[in-house]
Amino acid sequence: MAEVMNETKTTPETAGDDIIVVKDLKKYFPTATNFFGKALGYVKAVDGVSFTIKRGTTMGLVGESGCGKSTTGRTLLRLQDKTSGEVLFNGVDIFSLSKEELRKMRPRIQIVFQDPFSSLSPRLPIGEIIGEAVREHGIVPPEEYDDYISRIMKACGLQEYHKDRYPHEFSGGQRQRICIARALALNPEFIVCDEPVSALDVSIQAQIINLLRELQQEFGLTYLFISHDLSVVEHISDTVGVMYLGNMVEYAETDELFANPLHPYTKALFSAIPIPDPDAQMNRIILEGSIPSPANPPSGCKFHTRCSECMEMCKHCQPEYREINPGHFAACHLYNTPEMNAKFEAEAAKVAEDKKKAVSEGKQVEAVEKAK
Amino acid sequence: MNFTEENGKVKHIPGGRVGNPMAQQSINEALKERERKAREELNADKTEQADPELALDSTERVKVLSPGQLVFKRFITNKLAIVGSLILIFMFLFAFVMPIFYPYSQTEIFYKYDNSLIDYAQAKERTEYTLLYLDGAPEVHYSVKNKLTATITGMEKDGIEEMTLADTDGNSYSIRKDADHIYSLYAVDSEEYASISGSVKYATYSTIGSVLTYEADAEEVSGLADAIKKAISGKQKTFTLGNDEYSLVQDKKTYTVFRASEGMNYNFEKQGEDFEALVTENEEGGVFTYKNETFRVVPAGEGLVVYRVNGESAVALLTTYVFDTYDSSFTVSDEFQVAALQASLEGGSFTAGGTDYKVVSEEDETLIYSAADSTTPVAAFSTLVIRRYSGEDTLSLDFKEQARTTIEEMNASGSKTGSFTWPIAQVDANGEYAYDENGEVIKEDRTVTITNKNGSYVMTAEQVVYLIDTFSRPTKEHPAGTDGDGMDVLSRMMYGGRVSLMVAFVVVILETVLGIIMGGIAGFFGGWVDNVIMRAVDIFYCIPSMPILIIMGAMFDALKMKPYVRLTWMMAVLGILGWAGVARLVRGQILSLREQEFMVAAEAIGLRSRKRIFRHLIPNVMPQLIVTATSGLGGVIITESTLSYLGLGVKHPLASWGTMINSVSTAEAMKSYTYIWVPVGLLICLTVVAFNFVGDGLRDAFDPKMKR
Repeated sequence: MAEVMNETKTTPETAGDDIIVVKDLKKYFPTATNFFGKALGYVKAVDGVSFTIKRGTTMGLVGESGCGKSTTGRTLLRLQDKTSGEVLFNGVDIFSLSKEELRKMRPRIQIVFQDPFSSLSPRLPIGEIIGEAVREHGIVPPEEYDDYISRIMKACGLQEYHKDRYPHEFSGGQRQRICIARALALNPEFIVCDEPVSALDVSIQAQIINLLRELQQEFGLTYLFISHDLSVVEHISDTVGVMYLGNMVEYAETDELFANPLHPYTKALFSAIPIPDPDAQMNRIILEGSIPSPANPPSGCKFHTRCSECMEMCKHCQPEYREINPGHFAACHLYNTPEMNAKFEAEAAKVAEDKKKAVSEGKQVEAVEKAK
Repeated sequence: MNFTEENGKVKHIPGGRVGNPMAQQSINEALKERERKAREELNADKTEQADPELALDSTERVKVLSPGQLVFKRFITNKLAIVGSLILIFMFLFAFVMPIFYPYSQTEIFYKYDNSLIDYAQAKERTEYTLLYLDGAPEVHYSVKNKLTATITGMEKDGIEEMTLADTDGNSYSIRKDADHIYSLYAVDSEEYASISGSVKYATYSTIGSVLTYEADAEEVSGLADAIKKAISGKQKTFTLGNDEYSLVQDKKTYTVFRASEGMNYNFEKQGEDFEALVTENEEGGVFTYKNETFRVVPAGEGLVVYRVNGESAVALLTTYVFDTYDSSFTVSDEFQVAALQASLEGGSFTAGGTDYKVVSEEDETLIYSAADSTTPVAAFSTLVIRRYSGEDTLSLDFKEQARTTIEEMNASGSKTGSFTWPIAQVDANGEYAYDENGEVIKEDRTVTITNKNGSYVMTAEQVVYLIDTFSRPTKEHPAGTDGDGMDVLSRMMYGGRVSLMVAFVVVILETVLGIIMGGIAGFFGGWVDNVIMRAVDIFYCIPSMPILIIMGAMFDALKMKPYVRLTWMMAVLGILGWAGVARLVRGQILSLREQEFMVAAEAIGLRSRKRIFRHLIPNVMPQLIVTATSGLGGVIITESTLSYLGLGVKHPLASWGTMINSVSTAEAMKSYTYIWVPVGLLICLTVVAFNFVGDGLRDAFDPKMKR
């Protein structure tokens, strides 16, 4: 079962079952630099995300475009540097590894990309694309190499004779199988699937999803499945995290989350899932406006600008990300305990006061300036 | 919901789905296990499946083409690219293979035999008199020597046979004609004995004080002074007083008075009537003897002067004759000449230097035979001087004889031209005599034409000259003709092509390699490295290449570099000036490729940087590079040709297409020698066009949007 660990609770013992532990991961991209290369502003793509993935399970990560799902996935693999936080893979901090150690560790964490067209080098035959790193890392003894590649390809639904063909000769679905085969060939423990099916048509999507699931069952793989397609996520994931503007807003087991979404954003999201029944009444929650810029996120709860149940405290205080029901985490003021409400209300009032003061002072200053 | 079909098959298992931990250890083992099971199943019901490889719709039957093969396939369907490739193949064969079979090298100079009409010799009647001293004769004073030819010319003109000359020292000489072209010079010891003149100096009259002074032997004449005064005042030069006529000659304030007289004035004692009769007899000039003394009468002005000759001695012979010898070892001394001339006057024989000679006169010349041998003359003399125009070779006496005979005939018949045949020495390219294997000058019979040009006879002959075969039109030996240096144009086109193509390839490879390295480093590492390299690229873009190349050319000239060293340097400079563009292209490509997901994937699967660059980056940059490089080849050929044309690149005698065009750089050459520059120009054009065709073809072939 997937379970989100509190940062403080994580111990090396528990790491045995938790293959990935992400603690308060932050990734800011500088938007502008001054003359000396110092950043003037940041896009907070990932702004403090924490989760844990248990061995052999799939965690789905959903959210709108630009909410930081893919950045989380890539930062997890150290394909780009973090700003702060920790990523533990089998209890080892990935960011503490040296370059060579990281390179040696690469085969154990793999990634499948969204675009199967640009993720294969057009000038290498398939066998080489899949086998290149196998040779590099010595996954199998040299005498078994050819057979191994064939087996991997078969396992991913590719034919052995595809080995000598080039990416341009394959359809999107086949290419995605190649990408999966490339990842699988390295005998990984954990695969980040970065929207692996969003570029494919629906029938192919099903093939790929099922392939991923079969492989998982057979080889005990662990996935982080990033997608904006809720039905796909529902289908494949054991646990699901919902992201909004760089933050995790809700996290629960798949069944629990889909049955009982807590966060208004999650509710809105789920209301958009089409029901294949013409008579069914769609109860859509329409989100107004577009996602705010992560370079200049709203204060308080980042979702408050579009939230249908926005309260005063939402505007000023960031909600606490906490376990509301067992195994169901959310960050929303709606589920605050009375004590917390009191605390946040006071805080909000204070912040509002300060702001008002600041505004009036500003006005006074303006008036004084005008008088002058 | 999208998976209704699958929902039945694949069960969604909520909760923990921890797979087989063993599988984590080796996916290979798991797969083997799976294969084994599948085989067992297959064995269980063999009948179910036939060999799938035989299926008609098997994708295995589709021929697999690698990207390279695809590019090739697209390329060969492009007609222009094929034309370009064929042209290039031809060019390579032409430049690199054909020279092996072509007999000439690029710097071989060809010669040809050519007849050229040269002014071979000149003949002229000699008018200058040579002074030949007689044995032991005293030196003649130079003032006389200088006057001799002029005097004789005057004498000939007036038909005078004798003339007396006086030098500045008061010695007198007489010239007497012995025969045509031969005069004798005598030193005369004589004095003026008497004279007959129209008038005699009678008195002098000075206007200052009107003093009349009579000459010593003059008688006083009364009234003379008054008559002179009257004549002076009347500005009369003559006047009559009594029976006598007087004349006045003014010298400033003094007048000399002459009285006309008929008689003879003696400087010495007076002689009788018979003497005067003898003088009168010889008043045209002559010599007579009177009372054992010799007198010579020389006409002078209106009168004459009688000289008493105390003695005279022959000093020299004067002649316009020129001596030629048959044998160059035979020297003609003054003594020999004098003896020969004197003998020719008497028409006999003479002895000179202890040898007897015989003189035989012919129409145009006089031959001198040795007394012992009367068949071959040893020497000849004539007034017709025959000289070679230029060249050190002497004309043989036989030639001169021939020439004189011909000229004589011409003069006799009154024709202006004449000719005879004579073996003329042949000359090689350097203007030196061509020798045969025996070391003898090669001679060939040629017609010598003599033309009379106002008394000077010009002899022209056709001489075979061994010339550099310049600007020859296309012939069998030289299918494209020869150039201004006599080198075979076709051969030079081949070798020039070699140089041009080699320069193009070396330069392009150099700039491409430099560009890949610099652009690759800049693109892959980025950051400040990228900044530094790209600023260097900007600087290289700013460098005006033409002035740099011109300066380099001048520098190479000053250093007197060997052609091949120079060529190497030129290639290096062109390469260094040209890498910036390639670097920029490579960097741009790499920057865009670096963001491609397959590069991220390459990192994710843990490939080393080296492998990522060489297996993933470079192969994907190559197509662009190949296209740029191929198109660049044409550009380099143009640059090289331009530089060579301007004399900055490949230097003569090394051939290059540019230098070949340079060899016909004048308007005249351009007009007249089209067969040299047009083919070379075409070669350049064709090659560049072909490179561009191939470059375009490659670009289209590499472009994935170009479907076949």
